[in-house]
Amino acid sequence: MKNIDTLISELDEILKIYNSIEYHKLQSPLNSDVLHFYFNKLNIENKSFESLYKWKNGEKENEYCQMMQYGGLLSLEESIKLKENYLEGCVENIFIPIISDGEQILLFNNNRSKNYGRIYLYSVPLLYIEKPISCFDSLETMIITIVESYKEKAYIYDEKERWLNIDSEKIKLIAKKNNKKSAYWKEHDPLYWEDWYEI
Amino acid sequence: MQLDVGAFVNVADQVAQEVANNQLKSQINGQMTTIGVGQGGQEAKNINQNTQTPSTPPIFWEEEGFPDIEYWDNEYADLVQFDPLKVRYDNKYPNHRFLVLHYLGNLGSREDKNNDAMKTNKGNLADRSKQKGNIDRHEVPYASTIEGGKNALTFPASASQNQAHGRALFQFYRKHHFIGGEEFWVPLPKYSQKRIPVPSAQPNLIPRSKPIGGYPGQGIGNLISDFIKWLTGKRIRLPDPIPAPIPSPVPVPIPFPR
Repeated sequence: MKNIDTLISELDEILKIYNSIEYHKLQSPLNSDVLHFYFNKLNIENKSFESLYKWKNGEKENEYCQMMQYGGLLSLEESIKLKENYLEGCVENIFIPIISDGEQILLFNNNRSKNYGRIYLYSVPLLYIEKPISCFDSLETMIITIVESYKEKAYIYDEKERWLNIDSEKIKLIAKKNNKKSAYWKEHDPLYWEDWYEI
Repeated sequence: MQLDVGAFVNVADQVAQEVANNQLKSQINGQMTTIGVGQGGQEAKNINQNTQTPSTPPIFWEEEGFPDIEYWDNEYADLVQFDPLKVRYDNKYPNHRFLVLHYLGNLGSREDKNNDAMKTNKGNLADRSKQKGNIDRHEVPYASTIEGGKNALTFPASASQNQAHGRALFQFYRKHHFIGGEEFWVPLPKYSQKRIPVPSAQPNLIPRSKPIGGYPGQGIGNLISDFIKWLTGKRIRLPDPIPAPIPSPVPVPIPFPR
């Protein structure tokens, strides 16, 4: 697998080509001191996570970035706010929100003892609320999946409508191939979390 | 706001498709139960014989615990109130009307429906409910139902109520062992008895329904279920050990002419 910095460069290129309108809703990274202040606040020490936020500090304030089907990269400030307010008492404290569309959230598992670095889906409309489901094996495989989805036209940005159209069948195939450990892409009954909940 | 009424016609087809798929799936997996449209009503009768007729499907009475969500669901019901496929009435509940929904088992379709609903409603107030912590985007009909999708409306609702409503809905589906295609009703006050609008972003007044990590008595059920799965390789659906109580509606006496 390519290293995280190469993957982030690919993502940057792909977004500029296929989704430049949403790309410009992302903001420049924070300076090193502030970045580390927030990393400490989130209690995270992860090279991939840090590289992601050295690339961009998520969406600009009051902007929605449709980077993928679950929304755009959250700024570190938003991530902390979500974790401390919205998700407090709802999901386990080990999760750090990284991507959201305002309703569904991708969560980074910061628990070093089990499935560290795996990405989980929290979704009120899909009813993964108290029990988020594993969705991407790692940040790396999540980026690979996003890049491939643009290349395979599973994501097509409609510039006139300003909307990211998704082909969920194609995405499922791409995601399943790149995220073999994640439960979401396998056959499962969402109501019976005993069969798929990993935390 | 415009609704694509024509698309509702497809709901019956989708229900039939969901049920057929699940019956086939059940036969393949050798599951013990197959629940089709209408059979859910029998379950509901078994649970609460005093309040529901045999023809009444399960009713999601928990809805009444979430006034903010109920208010927006009622707004949607106003728009579709003259369509008997979408809103029903029952003589047993003179103060209620019921939103008719069908559980959607197919996850891929749920994602599509959620995306369609967001696209249809893009730019509305709920879509701008970015400042998290207080406001959530509530979608009705729900993404977990066949009726959801591009015909759904989204509204800004109290985040805590939206989350808790989702949890209650999850428990409701689970309690009735839904697989896909089953009809259920969401009780709403009749038009004349609508409640005063509840402003969004209320403080969290609704306690979390269940603690993270399990429910009282669930452990034994899980052990049995896991053991059977270990023996047979199949998950058998056991009834929840302690079913959540269904709050019975208080009947309003109808004045009798003397």
